[in-house]
Amino acid sequence: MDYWFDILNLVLIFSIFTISLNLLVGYAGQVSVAHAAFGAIGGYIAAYLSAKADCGFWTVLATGTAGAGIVGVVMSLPALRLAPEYLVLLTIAVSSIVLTIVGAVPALGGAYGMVADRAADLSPLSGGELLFPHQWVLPLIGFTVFTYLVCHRMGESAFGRVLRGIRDDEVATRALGCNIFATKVVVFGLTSAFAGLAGVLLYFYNQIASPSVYGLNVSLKIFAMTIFGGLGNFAGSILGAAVLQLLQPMLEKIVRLDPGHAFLIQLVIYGLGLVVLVRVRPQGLLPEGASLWHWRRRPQATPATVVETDAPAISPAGASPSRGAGQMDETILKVRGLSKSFGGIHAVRGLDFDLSRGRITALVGPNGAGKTTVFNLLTGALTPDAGSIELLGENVRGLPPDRIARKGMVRSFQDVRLFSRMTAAENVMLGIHEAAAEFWRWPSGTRGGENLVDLFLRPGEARRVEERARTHALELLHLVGLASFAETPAGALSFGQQKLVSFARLLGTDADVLLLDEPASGIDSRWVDGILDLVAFMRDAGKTICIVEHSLHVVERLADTAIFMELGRITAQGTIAELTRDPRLAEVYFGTV
Amino acid sequence: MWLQQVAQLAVAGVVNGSFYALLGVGFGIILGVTGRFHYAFALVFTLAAFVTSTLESAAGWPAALAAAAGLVVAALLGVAIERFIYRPLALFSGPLSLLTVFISSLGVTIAGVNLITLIWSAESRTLTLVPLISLQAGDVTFTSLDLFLVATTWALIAALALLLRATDLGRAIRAARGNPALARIMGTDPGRIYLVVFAIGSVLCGTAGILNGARFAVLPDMGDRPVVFAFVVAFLGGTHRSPFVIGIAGLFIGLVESLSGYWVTPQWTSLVVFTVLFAYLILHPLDLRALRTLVAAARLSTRRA
Amino acid sequence: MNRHGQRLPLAAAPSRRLRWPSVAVAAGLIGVVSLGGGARAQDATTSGTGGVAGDQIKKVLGLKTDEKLGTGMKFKLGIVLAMTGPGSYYGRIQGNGAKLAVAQIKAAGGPDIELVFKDHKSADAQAGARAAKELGIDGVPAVLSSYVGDIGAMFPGVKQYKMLTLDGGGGTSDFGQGKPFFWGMRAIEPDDDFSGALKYWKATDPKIKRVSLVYFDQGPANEIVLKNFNTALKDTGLELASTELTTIGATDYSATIARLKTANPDAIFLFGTGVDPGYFMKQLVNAGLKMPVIGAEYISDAAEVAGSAFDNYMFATDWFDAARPSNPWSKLFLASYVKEFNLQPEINAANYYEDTFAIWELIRRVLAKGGNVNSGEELQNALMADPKFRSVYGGSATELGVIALDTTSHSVKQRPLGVYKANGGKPIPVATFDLGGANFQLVK
Repeated sequence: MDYWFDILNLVLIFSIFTISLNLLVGYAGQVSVAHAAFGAIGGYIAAYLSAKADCGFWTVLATGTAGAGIVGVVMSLPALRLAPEYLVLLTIAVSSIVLTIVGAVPALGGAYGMVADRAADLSPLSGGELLFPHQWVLPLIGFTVFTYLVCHRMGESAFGRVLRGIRDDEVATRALGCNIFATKVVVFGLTSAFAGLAGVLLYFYNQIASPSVYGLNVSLKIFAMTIFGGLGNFAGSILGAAVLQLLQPMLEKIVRLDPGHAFLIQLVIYGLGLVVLVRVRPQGLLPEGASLWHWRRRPQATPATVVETDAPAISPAGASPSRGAGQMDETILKVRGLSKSFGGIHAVRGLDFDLSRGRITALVGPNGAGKTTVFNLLTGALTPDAGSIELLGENVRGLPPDRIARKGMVRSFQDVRLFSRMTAAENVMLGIHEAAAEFWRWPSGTRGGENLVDLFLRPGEARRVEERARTHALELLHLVGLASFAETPAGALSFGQQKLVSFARLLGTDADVLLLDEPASGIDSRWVDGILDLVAFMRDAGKTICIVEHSLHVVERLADTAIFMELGRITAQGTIAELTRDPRLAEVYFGTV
Repeated sequence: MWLQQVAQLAVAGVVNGSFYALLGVGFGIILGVTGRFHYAFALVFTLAAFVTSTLESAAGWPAALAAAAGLVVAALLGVAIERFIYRPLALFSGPLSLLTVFISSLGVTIAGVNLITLIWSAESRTLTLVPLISLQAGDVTFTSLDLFLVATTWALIAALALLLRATDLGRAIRAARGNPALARIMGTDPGRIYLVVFAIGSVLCGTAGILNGARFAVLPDMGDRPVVFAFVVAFLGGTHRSPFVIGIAGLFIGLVESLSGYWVTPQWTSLVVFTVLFAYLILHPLDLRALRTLVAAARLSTRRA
Repeated sequence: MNRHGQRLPLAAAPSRRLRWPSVAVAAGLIGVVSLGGGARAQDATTSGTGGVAGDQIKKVLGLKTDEKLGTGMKFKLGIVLAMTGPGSYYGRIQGNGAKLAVAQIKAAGGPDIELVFKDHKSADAQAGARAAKELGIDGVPAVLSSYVGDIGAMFPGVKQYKMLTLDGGGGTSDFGQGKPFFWGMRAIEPDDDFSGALKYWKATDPKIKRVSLVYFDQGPANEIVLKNFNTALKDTGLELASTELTTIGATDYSATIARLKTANPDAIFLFGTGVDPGYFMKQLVNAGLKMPVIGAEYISDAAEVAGSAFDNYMFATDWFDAARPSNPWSKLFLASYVKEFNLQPEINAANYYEDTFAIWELIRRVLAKGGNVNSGEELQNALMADPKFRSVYGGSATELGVIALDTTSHSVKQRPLGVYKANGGKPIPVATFDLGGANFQLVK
């Protein structure tokens, strides 16, 4: 019986690894192969303190976990700015650095590691010394359940929604006002801490901390277990760990040949098993959203068909008023002398213009004039070389996109950039933030499940905020006529429908200034009118709107003023009528007549 | 005295660095064009060496012929893995293909390496490519094999660079690397290109394996460390860059690794290499970001007309 | 997949039918491999009696007729070796030695020993810890381990489950001494080895004054090795030229050799295990360094790798000289091993062969006292009462060799070592000595 308990114990310890890795890879989309190395940090801290400082189990556990978490935070800081491919490289570097250190420092046992001289002792909790596998079962179940609960709470909350946004489209998430840097630091730190916890437990269970226990191949094994179990599904992580951990003992019982070959054949079968298993079920045993008990099912990520409908009916009833309702025509955004060049190319030169409340300004001009660059500069996606940007009297030049978004200026994307694996409602909810001034609402600076304090310590508050966000999201979807699609994955919607959802998402941010990048492009004419109605409605509700458009019809219909750009400069400003009367502009815009 | 030691280490660094360069270029072309995390690179590396060694010693083939056969086997294995394992899996896995292909690559390697051990046993074998002569330049010693390795490596890298720049096939490969959908519209079948790229990458990989077998020994686990270096060098150089750039990255890694041996004992050289890498990753994005935002801005501004 | 969740087909849509052929191929491959594996007669003991008649064993070992041999008893003996990974070749050889012994023991009227194989995957600590646990859960009373109890990972399990463990692969080395239930059956590497090596140089070459030590990293044990080396240098009146740390399993020694060039010693003592000396010598010779090298190990694998670079290589260790079996039991072992496996026996096979017989010796002692042979504690008590066993090493034409253990350090107290010349694959002894370099004698 102890034989099976022994296997169960290892499954539980590896489940802690896989669950935490799943939060990092499956939810946040950050691919790391350093997970076992963080286990090494925990395990070696445990070994060193146990041997040299004679510390008890719980002290050692806390220190090892904290140590790994701290290193995880440190590793995340350079990772924040790296492209995903470089992140994997960074994790390989960290893994190698950690393993080299623990393998070379004589005080840590060098290549041989450190053998424990006594067993884990759970006092003051009952249970005493854990010597035999059956004694370990309950404590390990406790640790695994704890890990599962914490990670599950994080993953299936507003915080988790931000993680999934980071996974699917970091730029869009940031543009909606989410502080992705702080979020990434949190998730790296937390998952590394859990890896450290598992590393400590592994040390006490094996009674040895050695480089080979935490090597790169162990990281890869944990990675395989996580993928195979199902990304985005914690129950799957436990299952994945169980299946792959059981594979070898099972093979030992089945393949009974000459020992010289049996072990090799087992590994061949194991390897082929990985190939076959991942081929048969690439989404993992339990894919995202699936559940063993079916009581809560998030919609599937890959929808079968595109859902087509008629042009939507925009329902203005029940729309939300603009923040800080002020005077119409009040100047909301002041731009002076805005310039940006890339090497020798002057993308934007000396721009001066204003945007006012309750007005739609159109930014027109030929391709390459610099229109989208202006949007990037205004929202902080690019840093201007010179000039000032004042939003509601506050200088926002040089602020990161999420800060600017929270201050009240957001943009839509020409290619929409919805989170295709989330439902329409979730997409809208991701933009909804309830600002909070308290510094301890960290990392998001907002109320509710996006900040950790509310998430774990004030669940009632988190739930209430989530309810409010959901109600608001449904209202907005009703506004754009897509209320019946609230639970449909955004990837299943048609392009036109996605555009509407993205508008709902923008409205959810409650921003004053909406920069719309070609709002009517790429959709058929029935839909165009619907969207134009929506934009006009937003203007009438008091938003400050600037659109980039090529279609003259749209510009004529919507724009109160127009700004004409050529080669990075503003060459004309005025009403549409004024601009179209100018023959030179008409020629530039339409070519030789 | 110290100068002599540094010079000796530098020579070793150039030799190792060239080896890493070859690994990085081979891995990089596969990853850059097909996007497959081809961990089974280690398996191709190892099998090429085993085949060459066996043909040489057991069947008495001359070195050149045995090596050629080894490369053919390497290419066939690489192409077969792409055709029968990666491609069906990638089609089936959709957005998860990057990770699932990696897992199956891992599985193939574990199975393959242990299969090699079963068939050949883990006994060490050797392999001779060129007659081993000790050479000396001033105070610095090296061997004919070292020269052969450096020459072969850079010749292959140059050949690949030429292929990519100047031939139709190379253009098709670069097109598929940059934009597979567009490439298909222009008449290139990415699937076929992928097979060609795997063949090329596997030949480079097999060459590295055979050279490694000649330098040290032919063992089933000989691919474990090289595949990590292949990955690191390919990424450091940039999988969409010219083979020469990746080659330089490999040379850089080799020199750092070797020269650090002047100050630290061998167990610490890994630390030096990866700390340098770590520092590079932290500092590098300062201009990388400018590059990326430029690219992003350019992309955003040249949308549908 | 594009952003809208629509799958862009790369080629024809994948069919689920594609799955089954790949499974079939995999299954076929496994079948072929299994069959091929089973057909390898090389490693199975074909004759069942281990190549000798039962009486012969009893006679050679000098067993008394009234001794309780344990006939018909079932006994589980754990054996933890490198069955996969780079060391799997040695694992097989070690297993051969144990298997031969098991067959011969049964033929001689001893118990029916079941070898419970466990794989430590060539020095994977996790695997070693699990192996100890599994054997303990299985109630195995005695274990033959390797790689010094898989670099210590087995110590806690061995102690907890009270399994008498003999390590014939690495002995106790410097870091495994005095561990409960764990006993080393080899001389200490490299400390015992270099004491003989230095004496050899002192006795044969007065030009050698400065010696470098090239040794691989054993963590805290490095200090002990260095201390002993310096003491041995002092005792033989030689000087330390330099010390060079390497990593286990390294293939590239260019940095070490560059440093040795600078230090320019008159001779080098090389502490490297397995194939490592092969790589080192190959690169040393190619770098044009010609000073004499004595190593701590010689394995045919290493010779294969080094090729001609091993021509002048020498080694000092407790080595099994198959060309010169030293006592009647060695002769018997040699003959039966060749007959069964069609291979020359190596040090690894010899160690595990005699260690299995040592376990039988303990079983016999416990039976004589009427005790329980399935208790590791009783087996250990029997060992401690008389820590001496017959050995295929040492002895003479009429007397068997003896291996004696020290009850405090749990390491060998008596074991013959020698200095040998590699001699192109047929090593010849040039000196003999005992532990610590005692009784050093040149071979005439």
